[in-house]
Amino acid sequence: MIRFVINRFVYMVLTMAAVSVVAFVLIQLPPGDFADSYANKRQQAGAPITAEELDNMRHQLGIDRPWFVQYGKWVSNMVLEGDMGYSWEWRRPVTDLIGERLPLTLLLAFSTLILMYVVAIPIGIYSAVRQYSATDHIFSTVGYVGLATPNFLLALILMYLGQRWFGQSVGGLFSPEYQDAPWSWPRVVNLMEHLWVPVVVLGTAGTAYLIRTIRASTLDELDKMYVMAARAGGISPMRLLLKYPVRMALNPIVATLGWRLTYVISGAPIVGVVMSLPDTGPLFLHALLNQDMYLAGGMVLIYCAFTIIGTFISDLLLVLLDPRIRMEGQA
Amino acid sequence: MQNDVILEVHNLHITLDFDGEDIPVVQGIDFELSAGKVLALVGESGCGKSVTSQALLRLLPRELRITSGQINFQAADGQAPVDFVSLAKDGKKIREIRGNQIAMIFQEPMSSFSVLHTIGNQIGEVIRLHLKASKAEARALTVELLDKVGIPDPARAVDQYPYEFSGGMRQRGMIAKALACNPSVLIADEPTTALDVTIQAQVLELLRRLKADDGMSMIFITHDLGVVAQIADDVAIMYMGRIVEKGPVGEIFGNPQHPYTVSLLNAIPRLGDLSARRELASIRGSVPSLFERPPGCAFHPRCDSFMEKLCDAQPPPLTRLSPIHEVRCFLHQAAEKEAAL
Ligand SMILES: Nc1ncnc2c1ncn2[C@@H]1O[C@H](COP(=O)(O)OP(=O)(O)O)[C@@H](O)[C@H]1O
Ligand SMILES: [Mg+2]
Repeated sequence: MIRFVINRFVYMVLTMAAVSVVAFVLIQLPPGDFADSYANKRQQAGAPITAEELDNMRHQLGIDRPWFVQYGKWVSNMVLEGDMGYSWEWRRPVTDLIGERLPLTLLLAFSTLILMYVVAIPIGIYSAVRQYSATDHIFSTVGYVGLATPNFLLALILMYLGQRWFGQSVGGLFSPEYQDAPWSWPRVVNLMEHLWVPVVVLGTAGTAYLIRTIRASTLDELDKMYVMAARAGGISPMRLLLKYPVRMALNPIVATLGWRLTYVISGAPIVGVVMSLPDTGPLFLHALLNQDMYLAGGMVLIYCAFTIIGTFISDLLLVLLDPRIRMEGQA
Repeated sequence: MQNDVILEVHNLHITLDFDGEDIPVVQGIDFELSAGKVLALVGESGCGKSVTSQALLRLLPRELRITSGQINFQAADGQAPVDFVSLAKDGKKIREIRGNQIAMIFQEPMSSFSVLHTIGNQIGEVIRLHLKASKAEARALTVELLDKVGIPDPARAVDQYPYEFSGGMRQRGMIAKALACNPSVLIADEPTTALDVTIQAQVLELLRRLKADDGMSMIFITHDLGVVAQIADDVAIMYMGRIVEKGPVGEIFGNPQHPYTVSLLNAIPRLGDLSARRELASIRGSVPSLFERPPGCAFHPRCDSFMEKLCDAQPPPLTRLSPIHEVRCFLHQAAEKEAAL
């Protein structure tokens, strides 16, 4: 077991290293660089800069050197000093920028995850046990609609409804008066009042998908021989359901929790942009558009880190939950 | 109910709900199980043996349902017999009987245990449920049971998972679970079919010892008449949801009267022909599907003694050849009439 964890951990670090190279290369792939996009802006503002100024700027920023030199510097600073570089656009350290907004992204992602599981598990099981009942049909229909609605559309609908019925300014995560206020209890309440909209937007499709999966796998398990064998022992239907088929059906679903974390984290930026949330979503988009290299690279790296950590968590859960895999892990 | 009869099935009908259509699967079967006896239910695959055995404890899956009949059980405590058909499907009454007074083992030892729970947990569950035992007591009793059914190193086995057991060991585990509460009846649905021949013999020997030493009554389901000779007292031969012939083992083997019984007996491989043991291949044709049930006697398309306009017109009535030997075949109805003339 301990060997397994160490094993996976080493893989995790290696993957992270590989991902950092890919992220760095990808960020540099689009034609042009930050200097170009800066020059462009100046041009549009009616104050073009000279070719000499441009070269100077390139030299100052270090982007005239070969990519591997830039990469080496970036990574060594990051590992040795926790410094992820400097955002030229914001003229602030990347660590600060991400640090300010990441907690909100995480809050959004984890709230979404919790909502997904809390809603999907009971409904999925209920639909399976009462297969083809009216309730089952209703949940199925709602689920299909939920799956089929694009997130941005759902966001717009909810924002409209929120404004219309609750008189709320649902864009963003705070009402204007709390926007820059220090943390206080009313501010937390205010956050909660706003948070449900992006959480619902981000979680609906995933919840609908989870319900389908749980329903199908529970149905599968209900027909298995071991369920009848357990019934033949005299156990009550409810205990039977929870101890055997549900436990079995939830196994893969709990075990993929980490992958689902990945899913919500990677879905978050779009929702963040559509709803203009003060989280990492808009930050990431602008960094990409402006070729703000270190900020964009840092963001990619953070998103990937969550994916990799998510996978690590999933692997661990799988091993903890299934004795068969646990055994292989030991062997 | 008769004196020593503990389980009696009377005119049991079971239908399959196939997209809203009712397809008969079991069509009025009768049998009795006496205390300390083994009754074998024999027939080719698909004739309704498993469905019948599952119906006995009201375990039928959703799509199958008892439409009429009785399943009367005489508990050991001497109270009035209970008709299981009249009880709620997963209600308290039938649950108190399951695993406690009547236990069951299944054909597929590989899938009869949950892979996520230890053997000890799954056997202990029954013990704690019915005997109101503590965890520690249940565990101690489980170890004893595992030892009794011949599982080596039971103190270790109790904490093992099913995948660590071989097929034969799992079936022994199932038997241990079935024995946990000292049931008065054991229903065994093809308990040896899925096992290798040598393991088959060992498990059969274990069941035979249960009968001999503990006087366990059993309903033993198999498609292999060769096995029947080794363990059963009485045999009921089933074909497409009906019992076509029934009687003591000696009588049925020595004096078979239904053409189907005769062909089944002819299909038993000779000694030394072990590899062919599992198949009953030598009967002409194959069992029709539930949806193409032949009219009259369902066996008539495969029968060498088929009589036109008789066998295919209506189901043959029950003929009692002797107080202990019954058959459903027009050959014998004709013979009986002649004898009466
Ligand atoms: N759950 C089920 N759904 C549909 N058909 C079934 C089901 N269980 C059994 N049957 C059908 O009922 C008939 C009897 O099956 P079964 O009792 O399992 O036969 P066997 O004598 O081999 O044990 C077969 O034709 C089988 O296909
Ligand atoms: Mg069967």
